[in-house]
Amino acid sequence: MSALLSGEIVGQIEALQNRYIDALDSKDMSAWLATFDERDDASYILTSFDNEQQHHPLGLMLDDCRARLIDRVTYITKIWAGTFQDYRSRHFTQRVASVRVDENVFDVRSNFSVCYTPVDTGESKLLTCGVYLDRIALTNLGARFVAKKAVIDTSVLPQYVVYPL
Amino acid sequence: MSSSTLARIAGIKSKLKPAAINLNSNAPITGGYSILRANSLGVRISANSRPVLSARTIRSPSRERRFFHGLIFVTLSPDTPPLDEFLGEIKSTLLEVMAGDGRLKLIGYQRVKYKTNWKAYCDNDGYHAPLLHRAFQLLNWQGGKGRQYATEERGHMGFESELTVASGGDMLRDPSIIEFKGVDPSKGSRVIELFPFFIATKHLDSINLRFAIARSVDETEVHYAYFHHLDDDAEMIRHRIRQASNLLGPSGLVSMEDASIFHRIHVGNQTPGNVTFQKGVTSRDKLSFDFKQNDETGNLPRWEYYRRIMGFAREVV
Repeated sequence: MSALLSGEIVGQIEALQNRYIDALDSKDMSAWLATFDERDDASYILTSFDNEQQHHPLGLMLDDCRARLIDRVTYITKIWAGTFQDYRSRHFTQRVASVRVDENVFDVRSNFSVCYTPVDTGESKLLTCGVYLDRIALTNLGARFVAKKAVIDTSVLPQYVVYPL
Repeated sequence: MSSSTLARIAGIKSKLKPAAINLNSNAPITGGYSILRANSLGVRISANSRPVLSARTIRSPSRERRFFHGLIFVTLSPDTPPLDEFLGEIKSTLLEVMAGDGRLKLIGYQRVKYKTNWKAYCDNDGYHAPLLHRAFQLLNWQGGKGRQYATEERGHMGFESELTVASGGDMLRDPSIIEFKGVDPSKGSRVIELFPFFIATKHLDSINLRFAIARSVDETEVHYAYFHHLDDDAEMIRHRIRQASNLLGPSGLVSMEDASIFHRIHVGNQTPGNVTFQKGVTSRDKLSFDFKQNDETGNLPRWEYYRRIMGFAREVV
């Protein structure tokens, strides 16, 4: 559990989570990509609690390899740019469990919530909340996500989601 | 997705318009089916109305269920025609969407609310894809030959197109999202819309049934259900899961703009003026069912049916 991890390790994990949510809230997709390990099977999956509970493999975003992580950046910065009504997001996370699975690899569970503010209304609301299930590796470049799964509790999202959560 | 916004942007004037339709009304429609469940393999029921009456004081109407290759249709109205008659010509296209025999297994849902009235969600113009969806432009993805049709009685719409392969796949590191692994490209792209707002699509290898719910005048909720075929091998199942997750849903590579444009349409519909159709219209006072693939007139039979059952008078043109 997290109590067994050194303060330095916990600090690197926390710093990674902060870099991740700051990249998203800043809409800096290059920085978002940089939070993932460069191995070919690094992954990001966004799915729902309902799908998980019923063992349905579908995701709202299913980027199960580094090539798809790079494509996610392409979708947002090149293909969709200028085609959608944008919104600002604010992510909040709380690490609730950590376990070492290898010398430099850790499984981390964190609760998260995301508020969003459409640019046309300026009205802030809750977009979703859920849990991050992360596999994190400590590398020479710092902590990186080997796999990140965002499982949202929200059954029906209140609006379309452009950016990863 | 809808012609209403595109028409406004283009400043198009109408030759034929379904008169006196209130785009923001949420009036109930009777005499039709709700599609409640996709098959018997564990698909969750998606009711499309909220209970508003007490069962102690009001006798519940009986629910009649009908089946179409695992798709369950339910009606509360004694006036609803037999399912075969209700579906009409659309049956064959719907079955093609459902992989030809309906032997499907659910792989999951994507659920989202759109800030738009349900009627704006329904409009679908054949020409909208290359105008709205930048993925088609950037991937140099041309539409294949095909046809559009509508049923005369209820205005259900069908689109049947050959499949083409995007030539701009170099833009993607993982082009499997636009890969077709099926066996018959001529049946690669199918879309049907049943009045009032059930949509089913098959594009590439993604099989998708969309259950819509009018939550309010300003909000339409859509449950995207995806499937694989029971005869798929493990590789094909994995391919369908990966393609379905990222291609055509509310955050899909090709379709994300639909979600955004629904809201813009709804905002636009609050402004003065009329929503009009032009492309393919051949007469001011007579519906035509001779559509070209990319005409927008395929929507008119549905609007005419809506006008008729709601009792709205046709505006004199």
